[in-house]
This record gives sequence, C-alpha cells and structure tokens, in this order.
Amino acid sequence: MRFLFFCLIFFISYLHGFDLKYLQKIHSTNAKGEFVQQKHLKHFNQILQSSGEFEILDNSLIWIINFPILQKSKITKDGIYIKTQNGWQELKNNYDKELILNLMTFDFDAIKEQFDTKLIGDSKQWKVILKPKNIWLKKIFDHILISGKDRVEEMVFYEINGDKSITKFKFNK
Amino acid sequence: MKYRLFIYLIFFIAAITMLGLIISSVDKIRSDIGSLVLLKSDQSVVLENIQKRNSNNILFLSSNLALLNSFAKNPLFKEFLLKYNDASSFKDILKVSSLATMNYEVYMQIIDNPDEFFAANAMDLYNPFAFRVVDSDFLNYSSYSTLLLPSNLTFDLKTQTLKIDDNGSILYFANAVLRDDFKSSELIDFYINAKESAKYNGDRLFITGSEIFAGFAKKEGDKESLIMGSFSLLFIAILLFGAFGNWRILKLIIIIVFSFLCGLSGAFLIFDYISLFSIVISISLIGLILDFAMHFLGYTQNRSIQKDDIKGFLRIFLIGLLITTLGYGLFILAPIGFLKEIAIISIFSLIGAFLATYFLLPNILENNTFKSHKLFDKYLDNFISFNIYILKFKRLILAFIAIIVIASSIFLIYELPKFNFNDDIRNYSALNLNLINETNEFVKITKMPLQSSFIVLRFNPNEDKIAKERSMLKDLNITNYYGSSRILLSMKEQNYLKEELKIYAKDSKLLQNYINLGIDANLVQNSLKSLTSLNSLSFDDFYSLFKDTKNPLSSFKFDYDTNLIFIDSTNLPANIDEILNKYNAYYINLTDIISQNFTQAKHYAIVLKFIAYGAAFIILLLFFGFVRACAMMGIVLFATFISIVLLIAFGVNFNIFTIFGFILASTIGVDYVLFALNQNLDLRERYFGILLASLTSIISFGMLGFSTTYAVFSFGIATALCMLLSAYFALLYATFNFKK
Repeated sequence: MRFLFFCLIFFISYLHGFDLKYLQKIHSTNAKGEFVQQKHLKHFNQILQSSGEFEILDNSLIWIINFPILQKSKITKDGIYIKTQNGWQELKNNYDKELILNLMTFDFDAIKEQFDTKLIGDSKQWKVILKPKNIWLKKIFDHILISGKDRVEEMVFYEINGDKSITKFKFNK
Repeated sequence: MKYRLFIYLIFFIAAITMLGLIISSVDKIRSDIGSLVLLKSDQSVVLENIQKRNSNNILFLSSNLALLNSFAKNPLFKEFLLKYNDASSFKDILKVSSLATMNYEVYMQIIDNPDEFFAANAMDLYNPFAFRVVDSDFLNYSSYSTLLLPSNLTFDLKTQTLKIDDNGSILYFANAVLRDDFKSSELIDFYINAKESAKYNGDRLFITGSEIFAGFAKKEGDKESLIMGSFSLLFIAILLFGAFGNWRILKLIIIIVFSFLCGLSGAFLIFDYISLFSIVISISLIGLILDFAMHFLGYTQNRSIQKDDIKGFLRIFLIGLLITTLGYGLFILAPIGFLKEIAIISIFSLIGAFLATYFLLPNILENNTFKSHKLFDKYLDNFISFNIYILKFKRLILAFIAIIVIASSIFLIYELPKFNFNDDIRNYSALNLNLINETNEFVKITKMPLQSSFIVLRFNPNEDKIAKERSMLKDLNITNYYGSSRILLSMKEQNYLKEELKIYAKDSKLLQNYINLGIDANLVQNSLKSLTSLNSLSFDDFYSLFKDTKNPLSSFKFDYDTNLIFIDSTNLPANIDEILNKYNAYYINLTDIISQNFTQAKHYAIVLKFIAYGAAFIILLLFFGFVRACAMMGIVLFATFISIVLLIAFGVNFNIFTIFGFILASTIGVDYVLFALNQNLDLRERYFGILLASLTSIISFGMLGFSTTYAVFSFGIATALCMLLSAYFALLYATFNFKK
C-alpha cells in the first residue's frame, strides 16, 4: 500500500498549478531519484529503515532497495514484479495491485472513488491529504499525507493500527 | 332421466373432489432430478439440501464491472453479491485465526524448509508492497492467512469485489440469488439481453446457473410441446372427424379428463411426493384411456347410441382392465420411486377410464349417431380387403415371418454383445451446447469444482474434522478440491506448528536472518511467542467466530457432524469406496447416481414386464384357451421383438425410455388383441375400434419422435412403432379368425 504513496509522488512532484488536474502532468515525464523510508511500528520499539533509488520510466516505476537488503521491484500496467535470480517474477498475492496501477495511470476518477482529497497551501509549499472512503482501505489507513514544494518531498502513511511510514524523496537534477 | 342425472351427479362430485385434492397437493410435485431416483435416506437429505442451496444461485464473471453493477438492480434477484463491504469483524477474526488459517503451502514450508521461510519473511518486512492488517503481528503472519486469499478468486481492494486474472484479462465475480417467485421466461430474457449487451460492448461475460439450463430446456420443451401438441391435436381431430363425422365426438375429452383426475388424485393420496417426470410419462396413457371408448364407438357406428349398448362390453372391458392394471401393478414392486408412481397413476387412470366409459359415456352420447366420412369408409374397406387378400397366402406369410425371425435373431446375436445397456442421463437431455461450453469455461477459469460431485464426510464427536478430511483426500490422491481443509489447518497441524515455532524462536541461526537486516531479535522472538500463544481452533471453533461476516466454511458444513468436500469427478481412484468406507464417508455424483438408477430401473422394468406377460398369458388362458392365448401373446411378443430389432438396426439407444415405450405399447397391444377377438363385433367394427384406438395413440407418440430431446424422441418412436405393429398384427389376427 505504501506504493500508492510513491506513485502519487511522481505526479505531484511535477506540480505547476495548484489543483489536482495540474498535478497529473507531473507524471508525464520520466524522472529519477533517491528515497529513504522509515516504518514506525506501533507496539514495537524498532524503526525499519530502508533506502534506495527510484525511477519513473515510460509509465512504469522501478523501485530499488539498496539497504539493508538488495531488492529490485517494478510496477507496470501488467502487474508488480520482483527481480529474482530467474528474472522478473510477478507478485501474485498482492491484492492492492489494481489500486497502485490506477494511481500509476493518474486516474483521478479512480482515486476520488476511494479517497476524499484535500489540497492545502500553494504551489511553493503544499499538502495533499487523502482520507479513504472505501471500507477496506479505512481498515488499513487513517489518512495519507503528501507534502512538497516544487516537487514532492515527503509522504506519510498513517495506518489504523498505529503504524506510520515516512518516505522522503530527493530528485536528481 | 333420473338415472342419467344420478350418474352425472356422482361423476361431477367425484371429479370436483379429485380436482380439489389435486389442487391442494400441487406442492407435492417435485421437478428436481433427485426425486426421480431412490436414494438411501441420508443421501436423499444431502442431495435435497445441496439442490436447495444451489438451484437459485446464478454466478457471473465479467470483464466489465459496471455491467455487473447494472445487474444488481434487476428485480429478478433478491440478493446480488458483488461488493464485499462488510468488514466489521473481519480483522478481529483474522487476529485470532492467523495461525489456524495459515496457507497450507506456507505451513509446509515452515515445517520442511524453515531457513528459506525465515529469510524471506525477514526481507518481506522491507517490502514496499506489504502492510500489516493486525497491529500486534510484527512478522506479519496474518498476511499468510487463507482469509485474505479466500479461493482462486482474489480480493480487489479498490472495487471491493472478487476477481480473477484469466491470462491477463481481469474478470470480476458476482453471485446472485433468484427471487423465489421468479419467472423462468424473465430469466432467459435477462440472460439473452445481458449476453447481447456484453457482445455489443466487447466485454467478456459468463453467466451460469442450473435455472438457466432449466429455463432454456423449458423454453425449448414448451416450443416443442406446442408444435407437437398442435399437430397431434390437428391430426387426431381430422381422424376423429373422418371416423365419426361429427364434432360431438370431442365429448370424449370428458373421459380423458376424468381418467387423469383419478390417476393423479390416487397417486397424491398414496405418495408424499410425486416426480414431475412420472406425471409426464403417465400422460401418454391417453391411448389406453381411449381404448374402451373406441371399441364401444366402433360397435355403435351408423346408428343411434343407446345406453344399454355398452352392457355387452363389460366382460371384455374387465379382462382388458385386469390385464393392463396387473401389468402396471407389478411395477409397484420395483424399488425405484418413479416406477411405483407411474404404476399407481396408470392403475387409477385406467380404472377411471373404465368407469367413465362404461357408466358415463353412453349417457353423454345417448341418441347421438356417428357416421364415418365417405373417404374414411373407402380407405377402411380397402384396407380390410387388402388384409383379406394377403391372408390367402398363409404359407407365404408364415415363411416370411420365419425368415424375419431368423434374420432378426442373427442380427441380435451379432449386435447385442456390442450393446451398452448402461444408461447415461447426459445423453437424454437436450441441454443447450452453448450453455454447457459457457459453464465449462467458467469452471476452468475459476477452478471451482462443480457442486454435483462431492464427498459427504461424517465425524464422531470431538473428532479433528480437518485432519480427517486431509488424511482422506491424501489417501484418495485428490488435489483439486474445494473443502474446509483449504481454509483451515487441523488442530494437530496447528499444535505441531506452535511447537516448531517455539523451537525456531530459540534457533540462533534462524534469528540471524533478522539480525542481519538490523531487526531486534527480541521483537522476532516475541512475535513468534504471541503467535504460538494463539488458541488452536477446531473447525467448529472457527465456524462460530463468524456472526456478521460471510462464513467461508458455510459451503462445506452440512450439519454438526457432516461436512462436504466438492471434488473433480475425473481421475478418482478405483478403490474409492473402500477408502471412503474407512473414513465413514461416501461419494455422491448426481449424474452417475441417476444414470445408475435408470439402468437399474430398466432391468427391473424388463423383469417385471416378463412377469406381466406371464400373468397376462394365464388370464388369456383362462378366458380363451391355450391355443388362442398362445396366439394372442405371440402377436404382442412378435410386435415387440420386431420393434426392438428395428430400433437397434436404426441405431436408437436401448434406454429406460425405449423400455417404457415398449412396456406401454405391449400392454396396449394386449388390449388390441383382446378386442380383435370380441365376438360381439363384426370384422369392420373391430377394425374401426382397433384402428381408431391405435391411430390416436400412434399420432400422439409419433409426434414425440420429432423432439430434439433424446429421451422424448426415443420414448415416442419406440411406443409408436410397437403400437403400429401390435395393432396391425391384431387386425390380421382379427381377419384370420373372422374368416374362420
């Protein structure tokens, strides 16, 4: 589900105007960068931190974790894949794939079907708050907070179970 | 006049009473296929229950979610389950059942290959696609639960629907329940419109359900019945008008209606339930019912009918009634439900036909004169002359018969060993080929086994139900199934898993997988500990967790000590019965059971028919002496024999329906032979009676021969052919005797 967050980043980070339609344009160009993700798990005194690189390329997203594990994954319109010794292997058991793929295609109609969206600030400093409408998403997320300046800088998933995932982005110039 | 009124009143009161009884007993008619067969009582209860569960269910798969959504509003359905948005207690259930509902393949990996499992589990903690549903579940074991992957269908979070990926094409699943008072014509219209709409928009759409098959079969049946019924009525009306020259002859319908009222009410009085199939087969009694009337009317041709005219027929009517009721009466002894029902309906109908013809008909038709049409007379006289002419060549005829018997016997000796006497109901019904293909495709995509093939597994108190099911399936070598052990681990497996996890929690080598990734080993140990502290859940414990959420075990639980496992009926082991006995289980395959019952019914019917022939021979012996009794039975047997040979020669299957056709026709054949010897009638009157009685029946049954349903076709063709030959041989016999 966190992937939803990353997908959102890439279209929001190309923000020129100050509405959701304008954010959509962000996704129309290829981009590269680095990320740092922290998972704060409630009840557990442990922060799971990972870092790596990302790349948006021709409507697909490459996500490479370099630390503490080495894992390369890819989302395309056909599905989610993990790189193994035998090549790209599709993740069959992921039941939020459809949602991620919809976000990848910047289908705002689809996003709005499942989230109430609220845009705050201006194009220099902005926040988008997504509150789930879908009953199953409500069981997982309280809300998702995306913030940035000229590009997306941070996305935070506030999960119902008290977990929190923070991902910070740094785009290559 | 008073006598006539008295008779009318008696018959009217009787008819009204019987009609009331029938109307109040309509609920006793059962159209489900299970009612045709005689099952052990426990099998019958299970089948009835399964049919009740499934009969009103319609399943959908479509690439277009909006299309499925539009179906939800259709008033045909009282329920339409597309969106699964009732998640109120889902998380609570998942929390306590993470261990019990662990995917069996994951369980086996933990037991057999813990190194690989824990290495993957540690890496999954950083998986950007993974999230935790249960907050206290650090290692995210709940993600391995079968509740998150309920079947071959997967849950689509975005649309809250179940879906399946068919070679890259996403299909959404919906399950609808038909309204109790739905009309099958509306369902068929809905089906046709839905398919056309999908085709127009280029969407894939599969719709399957037993009521759709039934609806199309009924539609086709209705069409056939209408066409065949109309033609039968038209031809019979032309025949009757030609024979009697007066539309008043249509008053005969009173005899037919009264006889059927007797048959149905008698059956309703005796049986708790009656199969629709028995009623349909019994309707073909119309020929027998009219036999008495046709012979009487043959006698009264060309003169005013007087009510005392019937008195001379009492003896011959009673002999005919005795033989025919005895013939059907023997079927009561058959241990097959519908044979008993047909026997009772027939016996009561024939008694009704006798009573109505003897007491009512002369009063209804008193003072009426029926005179044949000239053309009818001309053909009848020519036919009689022809038969008189050919009987001059007796030796030639005998030689001809001998040749036919020898040739037929040789043919049968050659053909019979190749013959398959086992019935298979799949060959009888005219199921729509497109629907069959659609259902096959549906089953192939969803991998849902058909619900007509399943194992009934019974348990002793406190038995580990899942362990027993898994062990049995292992012995049977069945892997493609749909049962509760797909959802739950057995108590033994859960306890074993807990013990193993406790050991793993102390295994420094396994813990190193997590430590290497910077994860606190204590957290891992605590997570494993909390998992092992979960209560092991039995089938019944888990079942009782579900109150406001759809229970994933409801398809499998039959009652408190019986479960069902739906299996693929192909590739079952040869010793399946032996294995199932060991587990106090049995296998039900609805199609096979009915086929076996039909084969068994056929064997009983043949044996009983031979006994009936014997009984008829004894009765004929008593009334007509040895020589005539032999000749009379010989005629019927010869007609039946030639009919069987002809049907086999033309490749018609020797199934339960052809057997019934022969039984019915040969019973009527005895009647024809009896009337052929009626000394009260001259030759022309005998011809008239036998011809009219046989032709009305032959037309009715012959029209069935045009049916596209094999069962109906074979029944109609066998009956019509055997009747035709019986009637003709009876007429020849009448001619032969009259000359003497």
